[in-house]
Amino acid sequence: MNTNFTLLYVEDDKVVQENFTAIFQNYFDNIITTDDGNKALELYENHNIDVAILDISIHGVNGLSLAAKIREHDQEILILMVSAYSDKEKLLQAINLNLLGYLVKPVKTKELKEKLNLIQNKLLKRNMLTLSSNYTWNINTHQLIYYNKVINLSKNETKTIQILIEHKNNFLNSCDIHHLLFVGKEPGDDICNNVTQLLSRLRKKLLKISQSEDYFIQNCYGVGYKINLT
Amino acid sequence: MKKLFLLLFFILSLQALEINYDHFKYENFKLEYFKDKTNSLTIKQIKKSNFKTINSQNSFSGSVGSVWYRINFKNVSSKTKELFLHDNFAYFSKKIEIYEFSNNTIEDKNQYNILSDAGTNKLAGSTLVYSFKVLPKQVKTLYIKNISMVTSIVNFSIYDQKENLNALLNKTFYSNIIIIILITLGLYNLMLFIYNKRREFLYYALYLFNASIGFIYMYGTLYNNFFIYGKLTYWFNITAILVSLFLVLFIEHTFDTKNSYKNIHKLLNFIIYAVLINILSAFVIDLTFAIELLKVVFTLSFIVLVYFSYILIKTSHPLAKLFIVAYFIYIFGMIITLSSMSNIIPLNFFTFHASGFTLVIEAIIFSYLMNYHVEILEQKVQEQREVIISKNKKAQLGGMINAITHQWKQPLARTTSITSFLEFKLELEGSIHKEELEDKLAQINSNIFFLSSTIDDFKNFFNHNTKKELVDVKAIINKALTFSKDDTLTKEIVIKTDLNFSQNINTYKNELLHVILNILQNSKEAFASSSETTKMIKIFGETINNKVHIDFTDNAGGIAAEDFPFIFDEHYTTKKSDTGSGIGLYLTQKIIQEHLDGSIEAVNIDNGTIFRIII
Repeated sequence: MNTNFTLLYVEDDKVVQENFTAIFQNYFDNIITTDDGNKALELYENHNIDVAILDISIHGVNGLSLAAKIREHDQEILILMVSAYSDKEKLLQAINLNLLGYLVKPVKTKELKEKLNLIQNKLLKRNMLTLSSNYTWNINTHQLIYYNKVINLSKNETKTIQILIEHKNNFLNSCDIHHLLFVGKEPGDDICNNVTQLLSRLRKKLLKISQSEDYFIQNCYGVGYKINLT
Repeated sequence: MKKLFLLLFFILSLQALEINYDHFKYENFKLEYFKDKTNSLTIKQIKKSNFKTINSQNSFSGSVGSVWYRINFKNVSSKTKELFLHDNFAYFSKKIEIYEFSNNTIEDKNQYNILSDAGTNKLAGSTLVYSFKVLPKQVKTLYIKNISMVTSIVNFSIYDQKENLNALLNKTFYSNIIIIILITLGLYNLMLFIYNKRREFLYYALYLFNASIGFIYMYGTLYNNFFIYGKLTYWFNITAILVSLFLVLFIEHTFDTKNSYKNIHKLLNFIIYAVLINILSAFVIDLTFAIELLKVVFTLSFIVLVYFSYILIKTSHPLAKLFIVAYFIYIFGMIITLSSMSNIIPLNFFTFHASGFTLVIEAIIFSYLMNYHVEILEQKVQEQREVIISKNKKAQLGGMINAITHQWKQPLARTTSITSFLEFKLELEGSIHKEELEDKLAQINSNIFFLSSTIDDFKNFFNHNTKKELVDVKAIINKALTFSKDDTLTKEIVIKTDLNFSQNINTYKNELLHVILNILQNSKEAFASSSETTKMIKIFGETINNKVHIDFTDNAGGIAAEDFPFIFDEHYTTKKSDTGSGIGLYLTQKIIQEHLDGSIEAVNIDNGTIFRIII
């Protein structure tokens, strides 16, 4: 699956770690593994971690303390605990940690799959910017999606939408966009016009796809362009 | 004994014993008596009184005042004979006077004060011996005045010089046998009491000692063997009152009437009070009155015991038959003796000793009954112990299930991680490479074998194996550690071992494992209430003089001083009722001492305890 997320996986049993890592590779591009709670904390600090899957009984700091420490720095990170049945009660202490959930060892494949799908959806949703007219923008992958369908955009089209999203509160005229689009090049009148043409082409293309008059980039004459969010 | 069956010679017409033979003895002959109820007649008046014929062994019922006896002797031989008159029951009398007449002229007069001290009363042991001579062809008459104490019984016999000595020597033989048997059985029961601390043995010993003392008095042994005379001896009658007390106490404890026969228990207690009142009356009023009252108490206890016997049979108590047979044999003997002493049936050797003989029989049957009783008790104890052992094993089972859960966690987690991986792979990629699959299946197999061997180990522990075998103690300790390795032991308690055994020992493997598990469990439970941060159990072991020494040291805070002396006691626990059963250490000690021929001791150290076992 094409994602750009990083997983921190802490598990002290080598066999379980190896097999689960192989499974997780289907969901994450980057997986960082360790068997030690202290090392895990270090790794968390040095990497941009999106998801943490933590076993409760690990060396060093136990899984719950580790989760608590991570949560201190980061409210966004998704945390999934893995515990033995006998440790289940300990999870009650973790009620304030805003966990995504837990898996009880031995882990059932079905539950693992459900949890991984849940993580994937959460991550995807988190990176989706909902635009007007049923369009969404994936912040991570810079993709424009219309009803789950990825729309092919040129490099400059992509970059333009990105620029408009970055300045979503302001109107930008074509010269401003050009300036941000082609850093270093001094914009001339004709050059600014290129941006106008680019946006016009994009509009036509999208209206053709959506078969409607609605469009998520607002063009206010004499002021500039602005992205429309819902 | 044979002597007693000898036909006795008497000539009714002459009313005189003819002394003819060189060798003679008369032990049951006819003589004459006259009751002087006023106790005031002089010998002159008596001589004119109307005498009646009775046996030389006899008893009178009720209070009789003084009784006069007359015996005539006629020497039909040509030699002067020396005769010895024995008053065998002289010790039951207060006072005896003997007048010797020859042809109506008084030749001699003697007075015996039986209640006087030894020496002055002129008794030969318990017997009054009066010697006199009868010239050839002479007729002599003896008038004997007897003032009795409590019991008016009489037994005269007449001997020549040789038989006189024999009679004196043989007198105490059967009485002493009875008394010695009773005292021996009393000691036997006393020893049983000392050994097993059950009160019924003490009461039965006291019952027998009390009866022995009673017989020592009744049979004259007190005088014959101990030379105790005087008014004091009169108080020996109190033993007759105490009989019921000890018997009732014995019955209460043997049959546990307090719990098993509540109504009977009340009746038995009532008898105890009656006996106590009876004894009190002896001191407050007087002994004669107390002995009269005794008849009421005795009848009362007899009725209660008959009723109790009936209840015992009805409830088919295992001891019922033995008890009833023994008790009624004694009651039978007792009635015979009492009757013989109250002139209801003839007084003779057998009737007089019947209570003694039957008490011996009763005591022997009761001793057997007590033995049987102990067996029943031991059976109960054994059953209780089995319950305890199974309870402990169950408790261990609970702990072991935790340990099994812990042991199985890893292989189960591993196996499922592998199967999950394969499932994902199949679903996402459609196929799995053959070599990869083989590799994963091998991993699954090895994990399943681990699961299976773990469960086998646990199963073996619960299987009884009763054979001694050469045991590697270090391996057993490690196995015990594995068995008790639940989450607490793994994560919170550090275990350090230093085991240097130089040889294997021949012992019961599972028992050893069991006790080590119990000791570890005890430490583990002690840690539950300990605030120690670095919880640690150190196990040190070595072989000294072919014996295995193992020290289990923990730092769980030690045992409180007030608990320390009792830690190996049954049901003693310092833990809250829901966690400790109180049988762990008790059973540990039992197994070590009784099965493993070893010892266990506990020592409190700075902040923990050392349990040392030596096997």
